[in-house]
Amino acid sequence: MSTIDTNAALPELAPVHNLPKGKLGVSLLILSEIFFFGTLIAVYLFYIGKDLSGPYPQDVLDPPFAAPTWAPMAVSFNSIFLLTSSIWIWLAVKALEQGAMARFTLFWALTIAFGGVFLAGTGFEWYGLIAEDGLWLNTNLFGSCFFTLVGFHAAHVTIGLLLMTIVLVLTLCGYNHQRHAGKVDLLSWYWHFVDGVWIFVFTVVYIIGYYG
Amino acid sequence: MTTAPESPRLALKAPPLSRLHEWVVTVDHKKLGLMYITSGLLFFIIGGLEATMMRWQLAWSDMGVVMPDEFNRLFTMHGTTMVFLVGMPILLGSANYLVPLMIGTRDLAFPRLNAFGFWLFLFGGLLLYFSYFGGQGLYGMGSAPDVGWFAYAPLTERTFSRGHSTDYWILGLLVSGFGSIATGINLVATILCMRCKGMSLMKMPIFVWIMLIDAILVVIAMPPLAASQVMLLFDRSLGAHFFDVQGGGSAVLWQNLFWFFGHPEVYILILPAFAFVSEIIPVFCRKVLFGYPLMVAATVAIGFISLGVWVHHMFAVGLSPAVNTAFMASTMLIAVPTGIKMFNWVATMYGGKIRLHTPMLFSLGFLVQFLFGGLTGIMLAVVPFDWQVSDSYFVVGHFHYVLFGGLVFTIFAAIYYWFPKVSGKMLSERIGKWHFWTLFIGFNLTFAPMHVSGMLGMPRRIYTYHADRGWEIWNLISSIGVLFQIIGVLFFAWNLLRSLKKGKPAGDDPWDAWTLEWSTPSPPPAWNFDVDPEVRSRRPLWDKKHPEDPDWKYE
Amino acid sequence: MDQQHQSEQHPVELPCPCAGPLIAAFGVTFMFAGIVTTWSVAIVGLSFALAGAVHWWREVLPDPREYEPVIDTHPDAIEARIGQVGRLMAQPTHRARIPLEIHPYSAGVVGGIIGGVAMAVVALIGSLASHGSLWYAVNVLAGTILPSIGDMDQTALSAFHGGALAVGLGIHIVMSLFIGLVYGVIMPLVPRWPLFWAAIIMPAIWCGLTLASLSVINPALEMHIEWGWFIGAQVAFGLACGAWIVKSEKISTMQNWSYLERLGMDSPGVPGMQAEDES
Repeated sequence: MSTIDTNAALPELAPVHNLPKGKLGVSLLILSEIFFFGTLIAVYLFYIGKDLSGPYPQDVLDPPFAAPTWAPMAVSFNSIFLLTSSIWIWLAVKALEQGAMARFTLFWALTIAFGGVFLAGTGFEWYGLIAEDGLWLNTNLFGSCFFTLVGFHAAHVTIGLLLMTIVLVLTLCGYNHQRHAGKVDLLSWYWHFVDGVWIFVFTVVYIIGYYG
Repeated sequence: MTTAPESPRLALKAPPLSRLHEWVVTVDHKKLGLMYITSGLLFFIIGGLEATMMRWQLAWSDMGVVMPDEFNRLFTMHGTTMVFLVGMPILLGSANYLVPLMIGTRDLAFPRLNAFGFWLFLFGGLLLYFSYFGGQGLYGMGSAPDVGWFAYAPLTERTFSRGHSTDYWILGLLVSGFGSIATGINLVATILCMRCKGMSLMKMPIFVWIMLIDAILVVIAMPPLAASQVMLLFDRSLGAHFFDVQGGGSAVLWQNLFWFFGHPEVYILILPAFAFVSEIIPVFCRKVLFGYPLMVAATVAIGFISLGVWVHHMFAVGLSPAVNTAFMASTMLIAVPTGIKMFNWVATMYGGKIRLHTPMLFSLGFLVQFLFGGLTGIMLAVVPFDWQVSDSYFVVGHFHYVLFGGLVFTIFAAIYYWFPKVSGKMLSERIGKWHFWTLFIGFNLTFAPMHVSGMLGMPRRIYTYHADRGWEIWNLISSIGVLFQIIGVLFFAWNLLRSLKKGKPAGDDPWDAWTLEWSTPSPPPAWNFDVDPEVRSRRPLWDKKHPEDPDWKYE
Repeated sequence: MDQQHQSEQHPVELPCPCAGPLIAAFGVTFMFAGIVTTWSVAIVGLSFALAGAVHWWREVLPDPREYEPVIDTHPDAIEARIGQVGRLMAQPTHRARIPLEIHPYSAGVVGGIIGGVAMAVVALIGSLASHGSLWYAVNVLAGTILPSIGDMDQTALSAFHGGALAVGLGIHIVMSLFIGLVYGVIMPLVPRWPLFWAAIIMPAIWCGLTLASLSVINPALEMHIEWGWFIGAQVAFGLACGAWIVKSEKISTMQNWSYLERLGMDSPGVPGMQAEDES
């Protein structure tokens, strides 16, 4: 064994596929959020139809497939605003990557506006449920589950809007540049996640919960 | 080989306040790791004292050392402390300290997030213990939490748990749980994004692999706990009905949610033990780890299966036979990858030149005790047997064999192994052996008789028992064992403090080991590596020490 | 030593210490503590959390602040020690006993099928003889999984149950194949008379285990078993399955061929070669 030439050439280093840490970090955050919302959604599904007393979802929620009414906005109509905002933020990030700051600012502000409309719609809906229908967390199981699940989603929308507003202010003050596109992109991942979760929340609360 | 001269930065002692400032604002993974481990050890002493009080109370029938309500607080705080404030910080701290050194990088992926995670953990723990002072609430009825570490509904509802004690349990764990999730994300990102040149995934030290799976489990398992705790908080403070049985809520739902977190959690706790011994046993047997790829596969398998076994904590609830059978099968299944690991460790030792230093002694203690705890675990996985001993001292004996005999013994092994790297000083072998043998004897004296008292029908969580049950002698042996354990821990504390002052200088590589952390000075400087390391095998230092027969020829 | 590479290295940069995370964590904890104390605690917490977050963000945005440390400590050089590597060698007295030749797995599977048929024939004859119904044995077998069977009386047990037939058939097929495989693997390992082991010893062990444990696992079932026919069925399985496997042609394994043999070299006299007469 000892006769082997110790100065023999070392082998090539194995290729190391290190991932970009920002994107991986946000993906992991989203993974943990998926398990958080997954738990809340599972609980919602578990308690559908187990209420001991009203009001029941059929009494107070907007029917999902009815024509939109204005006050309060039907949730399905309202949801379109949130889902559309994902397109605006995607366009905004593309603009920032190309260095088109004016276009970025426009689409970014549109994203915030559309998210804001959704949040306002949720506010109207909640006002109606609480003030007119007398539904709150302590009313029955439906109230507990509904306000927790939709409330946590709304909280995530709010956090997203706050962060996006900070970026908007920084942009208007001239601190945002093309080279920050990577970081802004990460924020857009979070926003896409918030939109994506809404599809599940909507399905569970307003379709399965309504007809179930 | 001479030792590195003491660093001039350490020789010049800064005034205490500015040294304190240096530690609290640090984002260095080694300092944060040490703070994690130190606070974990301090909480270990608190949790140990709580256990001592309980063993004193139970030493004989009809004792009156503590009152029943105080006893409830003791076992609740003991369990909560040991799982969340001892196990978690020590595993996160050791991963914090060692993972960047082992993968040849300078810090974690997000150093400031790392500091945030640590402080959230610490403040969360302090918030939990603040309940002893602040838990009275409106009725003056609270103190520390007293609902058991898994806080079963509906005992936790406002009706049954007055005051704020349960709220403190929720909030303290919620805050420290956020910290754990943050650090878990950080560790995964570090391992997948920051490995040094040449370190492909299958050339990572096995420690790093196991910690990767562990961190992923943390990221997945902690959010469901957070969600359930938030629901419980809404129940208690806003009057929601999630776990309120009168309002249509379900108490079994809480059990499902808690154990969906709780079972992965016990694997989160035991995986680091596997990581420690998988590093220590090869070094002290002078052989390469047997079956590295299988070890990785077994770790991944354990991670997956651990997400699907939680109902075995609920066999006595009365779920359908089909559900119980399915979870019995999945629970037995997890014994397969665990068994693979046991055989791999034994095969690593086979034919090796075993050096019985203290780290190896503790690792051997782990092998024996973890095997015992694992076997009683398989017994408990059998539904009819579980029905007989559920919630008895048999279960207490089982999980202490796994978590104390398994995890805590390997924590001590790891401290004896890596202390020279961390401090530059060797721990005393002589005191170390005293520490091991007193703790080994004390541990087995305490927990082996619990299997008997459990079979004799002694339920867990009772604060005392009458004389006619025949449980006294077993409880007395258990309590006598505690004395030995205290002596063992005192030996450890003495060894630690003495060696910090006047331990033998360790040098860079006292154990003739093979992973990258041993190629740095002891203690490692803030920048870890002067030169970015390059790695061609799983044992880079072996390749340098034995260039005529390097590992990369075989991998 | 790697020192000569140092000039090619990137400069060492480390993140600057930052109090932001500490302040933010303190604030978050106080925000939560506000829930169980008073709202003013939460307000204090919120302001701390915001202050910490701003401090933190100013540290990392637009680019993380870093410093270059003074590199004043260096690790020791790692010395090469040539010629100290030992090898584990398998000793002639090594305890491992590995079968040189095994039955093919297919023999175990086919043996399991044949044994299963033989067993079913005996069990059905027994069922017909003792209870006048073919379904009795099927129902009792299904009872190992279906708890409801244990509660039936004798007449119900003799009747036809579709579910029980499906379950019983499933158990029988799976167990026959599985045990057949086990036979195939174990039979080369048993000493002297494989058929004796297959037809007598192994059924005896199996029946003994069942006899001892059934009262614990399923006491209701225990009352319904006809032990004579049960043992007969086991022996029928062992005999049929074992006979088939013994008859099959063994294939040799490479387990303890020498390295030279695995290379395909044929050189009698080289140490470690298998003797010719063993094959």
